[in-house]
Amino acid sequence: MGTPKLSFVKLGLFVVTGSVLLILAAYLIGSEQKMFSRTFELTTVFNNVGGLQVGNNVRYAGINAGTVRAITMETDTTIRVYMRIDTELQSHIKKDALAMVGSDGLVGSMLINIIPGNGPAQPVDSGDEIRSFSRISTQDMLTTLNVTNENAALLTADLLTITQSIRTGSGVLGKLLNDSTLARDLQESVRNLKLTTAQSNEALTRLNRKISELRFEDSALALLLDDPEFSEQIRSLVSGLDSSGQDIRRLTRRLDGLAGSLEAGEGTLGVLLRDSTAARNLQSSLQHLDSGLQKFDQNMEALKHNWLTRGYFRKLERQQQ
Amino acid sequence: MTSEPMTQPETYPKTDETRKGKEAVIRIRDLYKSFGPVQVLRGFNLTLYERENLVVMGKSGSGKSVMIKCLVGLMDPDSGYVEVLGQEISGLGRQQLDQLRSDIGFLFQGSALYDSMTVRENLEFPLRRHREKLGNPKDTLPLVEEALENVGLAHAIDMMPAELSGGMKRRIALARTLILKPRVILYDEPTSGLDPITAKEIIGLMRRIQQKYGTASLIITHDVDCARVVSERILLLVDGVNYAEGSYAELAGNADPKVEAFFKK
Amino acid sequence: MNNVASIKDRVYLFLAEIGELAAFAGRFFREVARPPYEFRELLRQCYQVGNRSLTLVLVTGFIIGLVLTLQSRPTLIEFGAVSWMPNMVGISIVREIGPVITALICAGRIASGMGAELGSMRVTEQIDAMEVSGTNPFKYLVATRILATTLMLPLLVVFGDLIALFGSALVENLKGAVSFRLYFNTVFEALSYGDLIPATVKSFFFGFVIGLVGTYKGYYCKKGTAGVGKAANTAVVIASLLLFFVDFVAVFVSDIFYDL
Repeated sequence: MGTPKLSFVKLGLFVVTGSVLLILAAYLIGSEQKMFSRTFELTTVFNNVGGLQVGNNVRYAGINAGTVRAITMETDTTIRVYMRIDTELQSHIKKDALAMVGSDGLVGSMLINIIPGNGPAQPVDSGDEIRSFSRISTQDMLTTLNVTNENAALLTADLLTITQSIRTGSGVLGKLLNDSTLARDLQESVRNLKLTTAQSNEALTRLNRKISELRFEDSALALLLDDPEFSEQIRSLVSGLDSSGQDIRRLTRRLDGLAGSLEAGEGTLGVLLRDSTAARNLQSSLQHLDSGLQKFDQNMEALKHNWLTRGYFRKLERQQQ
Repeated sequence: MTSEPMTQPETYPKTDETRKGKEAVIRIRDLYKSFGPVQVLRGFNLTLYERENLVVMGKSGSGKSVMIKCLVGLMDPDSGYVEVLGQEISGLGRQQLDQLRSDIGFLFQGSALYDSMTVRENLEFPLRRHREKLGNPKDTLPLVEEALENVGLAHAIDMMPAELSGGMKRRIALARTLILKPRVILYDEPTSGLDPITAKEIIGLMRRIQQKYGTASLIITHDVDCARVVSERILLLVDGVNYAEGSYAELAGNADPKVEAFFKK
Repeated sequence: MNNVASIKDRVYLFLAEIGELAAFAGRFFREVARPPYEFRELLRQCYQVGNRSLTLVLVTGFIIGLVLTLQSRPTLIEFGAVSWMPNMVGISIVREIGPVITALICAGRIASGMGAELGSMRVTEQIDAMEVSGTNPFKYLVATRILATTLMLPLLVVFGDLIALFGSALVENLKGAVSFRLYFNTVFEALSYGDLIPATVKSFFFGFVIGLVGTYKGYYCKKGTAGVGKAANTAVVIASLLLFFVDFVAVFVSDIFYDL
């Protein structure tokens, strides 16, 4: 009633301050979710979003660019993610940019990293779909490559021993000529090896191209893989695979020549027959080679189904047809 | 009860209700009220005429306060007929009841001043809803001052109830009761909790107000002195019914033990 | 046998109490919607509830923020997650601790105050005096108070939250050399509307419960000075219990609507 006017002023101050603080808090929370800045939309498709949620951040080259607006299941295996991106960044994000699911630190929430593309592509338009990159399948692929590499190394070592013994001991050839099965084995193995080598060679070239396309040296894969150790690993792996591939190629050429001389030449027969140890060695070596090649084949098969190289193998098949 | 007409002529003929040419302002017939198993009022009857001072005496817990609260609709009787200023209380809606209440002054036992308000705000409070009765005055201050002068406390206008003595509180409460110029005033133990001298002052004030405004007064008390000075008629309430009725002199000389118990010193 | 009967009586009384409280709440909604509106008294009560409780809320909130941070630091350091302090403290304060602590403090201060004030008004017949003066005491005393607590508590919670975060930021600033800017940036990044909106809605209900129980206990106060004391006391107890119950329900409901 006759309450001093001052108390109403104070009440007014209290209410205004409280409301302003509440609105401010709401605004700050909203602006973190890019709710009030002008935005445009991008979409991308994943096979696995790894726990990504609506509202998670989207980063472009490491800066906060927007939030995930919606996640919908599109087909049985594909998930479409809609992202709300700050308009200011629209001119910087190109059509060849890659989206990938990542996490914010060790125990952080999930987020989407958009990685700049390599080429001079057009800037994205609102509603564009950009390519996605799945880190989970990359990891699988790298493991596969690693095993392949190890096998290739083993194989190479075996072949080296064989050629070594062929070069030194001539008695083996006699044994070889007597044993027609062995000769056939050798021939077959060499043919397989040739094929595999050609395949792996091409695959490696393709892989190399892919990786350089991703601007491996720049921010792209480095950011993608977070830790330098990991990227170092993939680099050494690829180069290892490359060199072992070259070794195999070299050996194959030698063996090819050897097999040719086996078929044609008869002069060395006596010498070969004298050395039975070398012959046994060669036999077991060839067995090794066979199983090694089988493993290599399996690995190549795995590689065929992998994301990076899948496209290439498909193309190869089409060409063969 | 609510749907019945305001008067019930067969049971309570109007002719019975005038005395010396005076109209009845309050009529209570066969009032019953109980709280749980305790029957407080068991067929109480009362008639108050205009410009009359009627004292109702009874022991504590005899139902005096309950009866007076039924008169202003603060309590609903279990059964019985209550009529104030020609309107039956139980048949009234909220608005009509409020309208009627502006013609009834009620002085509460403990003064019932609003602790959180100043004396002025206390007196202005009844004006919140009843301004139109006084012709919608723009400024309520003259009304407040007039009411305070009536009780001789014009200087206390800006004080808080906590700063007042018991006697002053009672007088402020009386001023608040008077501010709407009621036609009937109900006093609930007007002298309770006061020392004899202050009580006498209040009684004097009550008489003066009654003479000045010509109001009818219903006074509930167990204070014999109060009854002697104020009353024109006394009604004894014993065991929930009216036990005896008459002037002070008549009742004081009554030999009935229950009546005598009130007047023994 | 006697014991059994007394348990039955207790259950009966308990149910009666809940029923009366619900009826009281129903009456509030009926009366508050109908004119005349006691706007001035509402403002006065808002002042009483809001401004007069602010200092207490600020002091308590500050200490809560301080203590929560100090207590969590060693554990978070052990896990190497001390940089997550703003997220943890921010979310726990905004979602739960801020509203609940503020409401409990207000239950202690406001509900007991209302219980005592209305209780003494009932006992000294001030409520009756209002009734006969043509002012509806339920509207004037009860509706305004419930409305005031309902409107003011969310604001008090905002103040309490903010000062608690400030207290937490202060600890981080002094002990962990985290700038206030970084602290609050992290807090607001961690928070979402899924945290803020349910907490604010919850605060309205908290305010309603405090006002409702306080005025209910006062309005139906038993005669005598002991009655006033009991009204004030039970108002705090019942309001606090009911607050926790409402909080429990609120968490359930907000989990349904904001599955975040």
